[in-house]
Amino acid sequence: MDSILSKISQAVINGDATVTRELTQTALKEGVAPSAILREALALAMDEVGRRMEAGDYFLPEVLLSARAMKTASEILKPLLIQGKAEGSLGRVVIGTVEGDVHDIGKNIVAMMLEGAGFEVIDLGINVPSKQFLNKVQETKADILAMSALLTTTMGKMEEVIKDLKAAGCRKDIIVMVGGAPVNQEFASKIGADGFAPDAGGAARLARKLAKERVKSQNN
Amino acid sequence: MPLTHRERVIKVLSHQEADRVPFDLGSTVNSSVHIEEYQKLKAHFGIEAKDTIFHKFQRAVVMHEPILQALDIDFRHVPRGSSDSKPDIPVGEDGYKDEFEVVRSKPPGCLYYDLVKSPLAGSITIQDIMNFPWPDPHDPGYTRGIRDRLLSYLQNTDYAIVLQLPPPFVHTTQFMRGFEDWFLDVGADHKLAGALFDAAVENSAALAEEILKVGGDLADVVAFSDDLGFQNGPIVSPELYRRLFKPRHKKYFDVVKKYTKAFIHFHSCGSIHKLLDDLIELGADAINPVQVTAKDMGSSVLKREFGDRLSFWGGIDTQKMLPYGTKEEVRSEVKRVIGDLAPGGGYILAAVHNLQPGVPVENIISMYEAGKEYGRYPISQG
Repeated sequence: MDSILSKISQAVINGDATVTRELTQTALKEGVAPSAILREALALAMDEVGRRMEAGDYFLPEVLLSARAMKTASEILKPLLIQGKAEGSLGRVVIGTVEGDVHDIGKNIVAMMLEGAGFEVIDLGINVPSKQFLNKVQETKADILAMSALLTTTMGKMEEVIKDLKAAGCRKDIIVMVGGAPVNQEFASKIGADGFAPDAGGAARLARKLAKERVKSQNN
Repeated sequence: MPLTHRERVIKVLSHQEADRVPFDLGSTVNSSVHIEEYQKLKAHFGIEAKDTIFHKFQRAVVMHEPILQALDIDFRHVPRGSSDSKPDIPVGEDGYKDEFEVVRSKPPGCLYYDLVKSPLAGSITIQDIMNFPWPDPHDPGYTRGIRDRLLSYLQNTDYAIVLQLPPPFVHTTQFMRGFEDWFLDVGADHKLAGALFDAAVENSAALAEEILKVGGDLADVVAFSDDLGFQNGPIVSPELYRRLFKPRHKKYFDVVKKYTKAFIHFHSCGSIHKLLDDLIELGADAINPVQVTAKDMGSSVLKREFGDRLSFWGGIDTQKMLPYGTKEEVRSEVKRVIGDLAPGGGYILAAVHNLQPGVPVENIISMYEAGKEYGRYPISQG
């Protein structure tokens, strides 16, 4: 079993969607639990992809191919995982690119990394009005709201969404993460976000850390 | 006797010291000003004349003569025309479809026309690429008026003339295929990517040839762009660049070199340090915009490693310094970059890319004033 999980990992790292799909189906037939495939194969693979990206060994084509391979597996696993915050899910994330902004490749990679890391991800797409973020977060009782912007002229919408969360009285119930080319830690702190990461690998790691801390503080 | 603008530029691009560092503003579609920012600059100089946009989706404008003269800019720009047979077609509320059938739209309150529809996105075949209605490079609209404009500058002024050529293939194919599909092809379908690159560069090189046939003997500099860098590295590995991209760039550069002796100004955003040897080998004389805040693109490193073979055109940071620095900080930065890049020639002062809304006008003025103050040769190495 270990070896099929590490083969799945390797297929994702190699960006081979076909082999990833075949091995995932084989693993399931052999009785490997979907959550084990998610946590022990896919999550490890995306961690490694993130590491290689940060080290400058993987460039965007390699990252996208790995993300596509991972998505192939997670689409097989999704219906088999128990919904909600029980086994198989670190939490629920609502993600989207803010209003007025149509850029999404970075956001899509983050979404796939978060899925690989074990989150249930609801992707609202691009050009998402602030109220739509709020409504989805309330409707799904999401744990994390992740917002992306590529332009200095649209990143201000992130602050607007955080204000809407406060006005609706649900700011404390959710972790807010922000990212995108013009965003930095200083901006994230200024607008009252809980987290910022400069790249997709960092975003997945930070989301895991913040989600775990939240569970810990809820249990205390 | 003081040098003419042209003499100054030719000396410096030939890696000789002149009287001072040459200045650029507006000689290319990537070294100009965004239309909204330009209103402030116009107001500063008391100009009310209407604007001409010369790069549509970036919304970059042609500079008015009084501003260029006030700042003592050494270059003037000659653009290529546009297709008569495939003009831009309006789409939606504020959008258009261009000659490559790429659709863009500008959401209300936004600065640029964003890519919204790529004609070759999704599942396509090589046949789709072959059957695509590429714009005709021999369309007279592209070359109309170019020679007259060049002659007018040559006969009536002493500015160095920059002739804009079309982009070879990287950006064009990204827009046509869509960025995500393009990167996936480049990762895993080299046959398809290569076919698309070949078709695009055949088209752009043919257009470059037409433009150079009417103006290649008169221009001092020819400028074209293909973005190869992100903030933290090249868009693809250097090994993949050499295998899949460089042969197509060679086709384009070889056509340019066949039809003109002008200096070749190659624009690429981002961290391209790892590709500079390749670009020099292809024939680039100067690179622009020299994104000094990108990885491995620091000015002193670039001069030390490539300064004897490459000129640097740009270098004054637009991510932080120009929009957020004080005018004193801008002056210090100009002094620093000149100290790094200008000794021995080979440096043209300009901002890193088009000036965007939010840059204080006093910072733009300070940049060129500092260029005058610190850019007089001889300049000791910083």
